[in-house]
Amino acid sequence: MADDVDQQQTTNTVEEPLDLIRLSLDERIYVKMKNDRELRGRLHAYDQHLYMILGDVEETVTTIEIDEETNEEIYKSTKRNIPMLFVRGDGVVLVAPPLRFG
Amino acid sequence: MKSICQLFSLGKEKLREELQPLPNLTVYMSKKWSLLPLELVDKCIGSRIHIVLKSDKEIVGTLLGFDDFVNMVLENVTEFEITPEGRRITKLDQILLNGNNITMLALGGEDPEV
Repeated sequence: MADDVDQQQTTNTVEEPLDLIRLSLDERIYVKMKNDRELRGRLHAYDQHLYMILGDVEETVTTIEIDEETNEEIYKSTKRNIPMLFVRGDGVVLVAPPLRFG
Repeated sequence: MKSICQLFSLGKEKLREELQPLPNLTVYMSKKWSLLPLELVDKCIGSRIHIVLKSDKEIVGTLLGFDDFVNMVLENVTEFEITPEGRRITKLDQILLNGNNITMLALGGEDPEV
């Protein structure tokens, strides 16, 4: 099974969008997913389907609750930590270095 | 590519040949890492796995097996519904979970007792 796999690319130039992600291997990254989920973790591996393995992940789920009386929108976020995560590619919206503040 | 009706008439071996799974041609890994994504899932066969679905649902169970599409066979399954804040259904025996609905798999964790 591993024989079909082309592992590390021999070229170091950035040729296609997936190469940009390759620059972040073994670094912490930020992943935005569908359903208002965000992940921050260390990228160990990924493939062309964007199946990813992330380690030491913090997952943030954001929900909007509508206050019944005032009808205002309350943004709530729930966080949890997951030691090792496999992410299925079709849920991924964007991949970026972790957002810096200031 | 044969039609569904034609595929149904083939024997098991011929069917395997016709249905070529998505080949995992290129995987990018950091130098300190040696497992392909699906190999990592393979290592979790036999242990508890926590599956987050695209809907607000999570499934915790023992992983028996999976395929290239990450369809999964699980047993001792508990289904959690996130919004109502409580354990919904505890299913024993075995389930086949359609991989299309999976968002992510949390591996190597302890049982979440919500």
